[in-house]
Amino acid sequence: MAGREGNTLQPEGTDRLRRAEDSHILNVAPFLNLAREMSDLIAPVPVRPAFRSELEHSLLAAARQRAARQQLDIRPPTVEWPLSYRDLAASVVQPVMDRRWLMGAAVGSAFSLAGLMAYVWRQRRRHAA
Amino acid sequence: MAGLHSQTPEEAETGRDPDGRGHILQMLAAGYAELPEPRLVELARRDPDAFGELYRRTVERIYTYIYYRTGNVADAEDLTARTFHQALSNIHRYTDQGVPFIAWLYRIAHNLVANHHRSRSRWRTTPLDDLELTGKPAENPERAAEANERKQALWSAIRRQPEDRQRLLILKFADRLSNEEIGQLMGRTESSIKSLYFRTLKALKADLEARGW
Repeated sequence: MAGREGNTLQPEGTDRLRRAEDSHILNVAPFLNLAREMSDLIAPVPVRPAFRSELEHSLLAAARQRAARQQLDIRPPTVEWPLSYRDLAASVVQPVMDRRWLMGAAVGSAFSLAGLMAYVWRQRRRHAA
Repeated sequence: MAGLHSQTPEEAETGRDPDGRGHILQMLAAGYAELPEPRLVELARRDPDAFGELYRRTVERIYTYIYYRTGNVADAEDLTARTFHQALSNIHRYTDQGVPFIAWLYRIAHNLVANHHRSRSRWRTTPLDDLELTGKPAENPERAAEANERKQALWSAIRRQPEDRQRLLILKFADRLSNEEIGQLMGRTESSIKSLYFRTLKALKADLEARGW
C-alpha cells in the first residue's frame, strides 16, 4: 500500500527532494568551504628534530634518576596507631585478658583480701580484749 | 634511541637484569614499540625506556596542539618540554580510565597553556608573523599575498573564538581526530562535539562576514 502511494507520488516527491537538496547545498556550501580552508590552515606541525632528540635525552635522564632514587628509597617502618578509643582500649585490655594474667590477678586479689580480713579480725579481737 | 635501551619489557617488569647483559638485549627491547598502550603505560611507571616510547608516540601531537595554542615555536617547545616532564613526575598517579593516554597529556598541556596565558595577564594575540601559514603556494605573488591575507584573517577569527572552540578546531584539523575521539579528550559526548563544531562554524562565518572577508 505504502509502496503504491510512494510510486504515485514519486515525481512530486522527487522534485521536492531535489529542491530541498538544492537549498541544503546552498546552505551548507559556505560552511564546507570554511571547513576546507581551516583544514588547509591548521595542519600538523613537525617538531624540530634537534628539539625532539634533546627533550628525549633529558626525559630519559630524568626518568633514570627517578628510577635510581626509587631503588634507594628505604622507608622507616611505619607505626600504626590505634584509630579510635575502642582500638586503643582493645590494645591495652588484650594482654590483660590473657588467661595467665587473669589467674595471677585472681590469686593476688585473694591474698590481699585474706590479709585485709586477718588484719580486721585481729584488730577486733584486740579491742574486745 | 635504540642505543639507550638496556632492558626488555619483561626485565623492567621484574626490575632485574639477570645476566647483566643489557647491551645484548637491546634488539629485544625494540619490543616496546609493539606493546599496546595500556601495557606500556604500566611499564612506564618504573621503566625509563617505556616512558621514552610513550614520548615518541605522542610528542608530535602534543607539540602541534601547543603550537597552535601559543602561536610560536619558542613557547611551543618550552611548554611541550614542561608537559612531558610533568607527565614523568606524575605518572605514578595516572589511572587508566578507558581513554587514550594522550588525553592525560592533553590535559597537562591544556593546563600549562592556560597558565602561560594567565601569566601574561591576558590572552596573547598570536603574532601573525610567527605562525607559519601552511597550504599550497599560489602561482603568482599577487595571488600569494591575497591567499596569505585570507589565511591570516581566518586565523585571527579563530583566535577570537572561545578557548574550547579553538581546542576543538585544533584537535579536528591538526590532529585529524573524529568527533568521538575529541569528545573523549574534552570530556563531552559525540553529539555535543558535533553541535559545538557547527556553532563554531556559524560564529566564524558571521565574524568573517562582518569584517568583509
